[in-house]
Amino acid sequence: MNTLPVQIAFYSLAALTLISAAYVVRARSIIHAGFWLLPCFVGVAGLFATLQAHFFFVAQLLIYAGAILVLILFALMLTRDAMSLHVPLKSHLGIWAGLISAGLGISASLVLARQSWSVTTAHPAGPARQAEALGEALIGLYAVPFEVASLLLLSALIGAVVLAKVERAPAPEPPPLADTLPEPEETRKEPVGVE
Amino acid sequence: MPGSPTIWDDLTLILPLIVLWITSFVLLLGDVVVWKKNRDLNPILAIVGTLIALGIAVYQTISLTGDKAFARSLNMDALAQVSMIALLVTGLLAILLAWTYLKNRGLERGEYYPLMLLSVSGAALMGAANDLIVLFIGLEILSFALYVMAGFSRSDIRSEEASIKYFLLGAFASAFLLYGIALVYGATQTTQLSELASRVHSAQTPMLVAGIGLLIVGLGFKAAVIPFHQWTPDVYEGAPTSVTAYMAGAAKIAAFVAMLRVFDSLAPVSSVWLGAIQALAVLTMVFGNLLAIAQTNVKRMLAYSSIAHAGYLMVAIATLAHRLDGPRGAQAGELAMTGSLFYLFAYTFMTLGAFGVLIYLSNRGKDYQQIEDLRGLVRHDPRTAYAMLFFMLSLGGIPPTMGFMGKWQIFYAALSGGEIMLAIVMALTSVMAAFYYLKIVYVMCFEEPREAAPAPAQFSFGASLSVLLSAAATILFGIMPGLLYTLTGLVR
Amino acid sequence: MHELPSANLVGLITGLPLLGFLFHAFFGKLIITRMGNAVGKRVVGGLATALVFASFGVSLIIFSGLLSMEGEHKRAFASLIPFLSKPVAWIDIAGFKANFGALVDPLSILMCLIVTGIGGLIHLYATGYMAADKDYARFFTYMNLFIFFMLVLVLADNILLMFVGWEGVGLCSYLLISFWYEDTENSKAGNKAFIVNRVGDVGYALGIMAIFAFFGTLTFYTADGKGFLDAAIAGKAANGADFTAEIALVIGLLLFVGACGKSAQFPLHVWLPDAMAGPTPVSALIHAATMVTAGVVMLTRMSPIIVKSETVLLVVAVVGLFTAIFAATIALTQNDIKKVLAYSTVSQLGYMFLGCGAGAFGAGMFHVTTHAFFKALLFLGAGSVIHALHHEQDMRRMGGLSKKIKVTYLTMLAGWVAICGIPPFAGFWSKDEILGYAAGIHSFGMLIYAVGLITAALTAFYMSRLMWKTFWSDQRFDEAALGAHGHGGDSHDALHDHGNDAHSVHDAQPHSSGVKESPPSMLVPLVILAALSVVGGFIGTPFNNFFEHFLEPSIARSEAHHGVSFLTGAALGTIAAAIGIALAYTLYAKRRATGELLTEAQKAGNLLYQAPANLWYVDRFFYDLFVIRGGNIAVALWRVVDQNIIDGLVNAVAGITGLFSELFRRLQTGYIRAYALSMLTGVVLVVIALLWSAMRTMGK
Repeated sequence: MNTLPVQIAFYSLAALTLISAAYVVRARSIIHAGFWLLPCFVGVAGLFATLQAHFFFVAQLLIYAGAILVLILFALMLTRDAMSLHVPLKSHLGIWAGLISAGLGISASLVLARQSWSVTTAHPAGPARQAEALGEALIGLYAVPFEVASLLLLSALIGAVVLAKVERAPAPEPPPLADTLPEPEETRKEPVGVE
Repeated sequence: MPGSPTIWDDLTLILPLIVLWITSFVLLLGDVVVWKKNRDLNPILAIVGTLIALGIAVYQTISLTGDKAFARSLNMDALAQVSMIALLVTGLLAILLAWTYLKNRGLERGEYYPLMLLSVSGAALMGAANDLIVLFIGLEILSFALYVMAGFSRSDIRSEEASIKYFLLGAFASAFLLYGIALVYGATQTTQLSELASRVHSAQTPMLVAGIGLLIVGLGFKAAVIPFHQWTPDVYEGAPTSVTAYMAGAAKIAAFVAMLRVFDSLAPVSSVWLGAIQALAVLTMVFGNLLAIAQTNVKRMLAYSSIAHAGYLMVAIATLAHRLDGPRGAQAGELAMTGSLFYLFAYTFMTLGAFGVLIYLSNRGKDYQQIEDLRGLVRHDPRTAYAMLFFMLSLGGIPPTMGFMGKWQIFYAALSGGEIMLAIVMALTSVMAAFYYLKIVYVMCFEEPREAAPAPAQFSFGASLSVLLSAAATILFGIMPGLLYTLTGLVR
Repeated sequence: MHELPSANLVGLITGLPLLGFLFHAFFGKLIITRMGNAVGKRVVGGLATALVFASFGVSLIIFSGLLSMEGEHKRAFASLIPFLSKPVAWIDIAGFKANFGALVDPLSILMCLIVTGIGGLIHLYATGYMAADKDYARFFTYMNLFIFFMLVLVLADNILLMFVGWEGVGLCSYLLISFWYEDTENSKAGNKAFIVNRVGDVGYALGIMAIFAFFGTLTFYTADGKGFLDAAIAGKAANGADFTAEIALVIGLLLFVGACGKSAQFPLHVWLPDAMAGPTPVSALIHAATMVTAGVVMLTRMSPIIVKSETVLLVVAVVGLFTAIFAATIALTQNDIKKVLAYSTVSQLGYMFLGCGAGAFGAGMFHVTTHAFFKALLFLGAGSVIHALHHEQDMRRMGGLSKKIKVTYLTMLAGWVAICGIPPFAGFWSKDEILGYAAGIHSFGMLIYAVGLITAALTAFYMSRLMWKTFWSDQRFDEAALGAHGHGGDSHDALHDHGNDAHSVHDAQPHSSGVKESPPSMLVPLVILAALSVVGGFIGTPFNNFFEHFLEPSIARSEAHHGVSFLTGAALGTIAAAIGIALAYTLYAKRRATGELLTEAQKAGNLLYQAPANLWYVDRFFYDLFVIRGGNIAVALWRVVDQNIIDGLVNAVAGITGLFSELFRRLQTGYIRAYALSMLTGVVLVVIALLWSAMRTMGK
């Protein structure tokens, strides 16, 4: 299976995924960032396809590229001022962040490269069998996490309700949370220390 | 019992969790549909549900019915059951604290208690996890509820800031945890901890090592270990105090019980991770205490104190590394295990107690947050001041309180496991810690009150009971630790 | 039956007084304010008394259960928590194990009966005696707490828990000595007791450590024979090391220092007479009948260790003997009625130690028991006298009371014959038993016996002197002035004149005057104790020694034996007592009017009088050495070392710490991106560190 076309497909899909992921991060408009997620998800789906994991290929396309992305875009558009908000990307921490992320990336790659992967030469199971195996794992070995994930969703749901319900006018704005510094004007530049 | 266990046996083992879930569903629906007006029913029912769950958990623990359940993805052993008891007690005290606090601030929305109960169940799942996936989901259930609860005071921008900070950084940390689980799975082809224990030794690849590193990060974030701690003071200060109290206790218990489980099964490759844990422990103890000294806000001070306590517990984790080094190491590992459980009980009592005192005082109408606010407390509210005094002594690890007994056990475990260096750092930083705990005592007892006669505290049944229970436990288990050993000692 | 019946009730013995303590601590004052002075006090006092008596009842049940047990050991292990039959662990960390458990055996149950029985009577007495005190609830709070700790002390199944009880009774003693803390003298007396006891406690604590170091356990006995006393009897520690006389010497001497502190043996006796500053029921209960005998109880419990070393035994005997005669000489010269009884207590405690030192621990315990009867009686009687005379404690201003307070007089008479050792009253049997064994000590046995007899004569003399001055001589006070003296504006001065004991009583009946008999609540305990003082000795006669036979399982076998035959001993003892009484009779009968043997001028010039009257200068010596000179050294050290060196160091460290703290606080900027970056840095460092250490180990 390790033929040249497959290799070409793999590398191009990987490149698509990575580059679009980078654009998600770099995009100046949050809506653009949302749209850049699409090629990223598609690229991942393609990677599943090259692995002959048909079920996951379809699932990735349908659920992530289809449902979740649309949901995210909807949410963004409903958010006040989302279209016009351009997040300032200037930060003196950027260089450091890049360096450290690069360090993490390199060490992760080295780790993965040094792993002696157990390569199986057997033909992968057909799409039907894959779905079957997944189903069995979900109600057998992973029944608890599968079932309990519903509680996670439930708490996320309650959380969404709590946070979305408008209650009353906000109180006067206190200084942001940080250890009190002698020079407060620097900390007060941005009302909430969220980027 | 003869034959293979049925699904009912498995369900019986997690009965306390099921009770929690049912209670939270009832509360959710009931608040919307049935008793819209009577908001006091929420905490009452939550208490009833927690008490039932606690009763069942205690019964199951005493009758030693623990076993692995659900295709070995849960391990309802003594560790799981005892940690569940600790979590339920924490939940109970936190519900009592929240009762009037929320009411006074117009925050008594129906979602609070269901969220809290759900998060307790998530924490308990972490403690019972025999599968890294379960551990992860448990962590997320716990965290999601906490993110929302931290932002529960919608009118207070600090609360919202705390919530979003906690959420973003928490998601960041979760990603590392998940990546770590994936790497460990890749290296060993299993996510089950009991399997992991038998496989790790032969699967020592860089990938496994990196995976372990990321597990440390993910769990270390929840436990507030330096350098993954910076969210702690901001979130502790910003969140409503009743949430902070609950979060401090429950998240700490869940994170450390999970760590105990993970590193217990990773003991065969302890040489890989011991160094990192030692370094983190030292960092956390030294800087946690150092930073706490400079604080002027009690909630922030307690946040740094919670970091410092995480450092002491990391000493126990480091001691666990020697579990397989002969009989002496095995004994030390056992001590570390039972000792850290005892410590977690102590921590939850004294921390919830200290926050409880702040909550109780806040019933005077203004928030008590600054150390300055406590000036001369002993003059106009001696009983509360004495309770606070005991919590501070306990947090500082001064006998005859529970905090001392807990710290001493970990200290002893570290010494007998050969972690002399860590034991010394622990002792020295404890001296440092005395400084800021005793400062509160000093301010309360020896300084003149700022105002001659502040408004008397409005009586709050829940907060008083919670503080009273915490104080009683802190003293009783400090004098008679044996009562609790009968429980924590089961974890061997 | 080899099991103790109703073992699950043992916890109630300690539980009931503890309940009383908690109840009074939280609600006592409230009840008195809410229900009014008269009713409230009755409720509080009644409850406190009833709980102690209930505890006595439970002790009786356990006692009868113990009697019904078969087997030679008569030993049971129970929980100190009510209704549990198995002890729970108190501390259990890595082989260091101590239970919160009770060792039920003859010794412990005997002490339980004494503590709760006599304790109950004294509680009853106190409900009358303290009736007018403003801190009524506080008094009974402390009293119940004392009973609780004393019971923990005697019931503990390990030496560490015993130490908890030991320190607990010390605390209560301190609180009760300085009960009337408004008077500085009382506070000082409390401090003195506390500090002197610390000296003994250091010895005890070191003894505990020595025991753990050698035996590896602190439990006395266990069901499977693994306790340290089991090991001491077997002669081998758990790790196989031989239990030699040298080790017994070290442990025994350390424990003996502890016993000296609590039981007021020379030179640590100085606190006990001052402890009489407390209310008289306290003196009777704590400083005569129970707490001060704790040292004897402890040595008896430790008897398997003590008997191993001849040296320890001899030291115990000699110190006991010396204390006995030393304190008796001081008692001859005291004028305060309570001080006479206090020194008498020290002297009698010396007898008990002498018994232990002779290896006759059973005899020592027998004297503990009879002494508890008659000394409690004498103290309560003295309290009744003080009460009758409106807080007059000076015997020089008493006299002629035998007709005025008949009941008190008759009961005191019973106490007098008991302590003098006149057959067949209680004191005779136990004192005789001790002296008999003392004569059997193989080095200087006869010399010790002789000194013991002289002490017995002295005892008879000073007790007769007390009776004479108080009851038999002519009245030396103005009866009409008593009432006037007692109330009105000058009552405060009166306190300062004569010490302030019973000032509460004087407040009780502010308008009555003249000598008056005490109320029934005070007289009933007196009568019961008088009966016990008369017949109590019959449980341990040499003809049928039920007492020592009963105690046998708790006590190590020793080589103790009688050095004189019973008849000889009895005759000599009786003669000694008779000499003392006769001497007192001949001397005092002539001076009926003044009740004084010597004039003031004679006293001043007579060194033989001055030395004991000044307590043989021991107190002054200690004061000069420790308080004055030691204080000077401490002040000098404080000025030089503390203020300059230590404070300087501390301030420097605090300053540097604060500096660092400020520095690192700046990292907490409040920005999520900064937090995330530092987390990421942490991630990279952790992963790299792990990979590095993994490579290192794999490279090996």
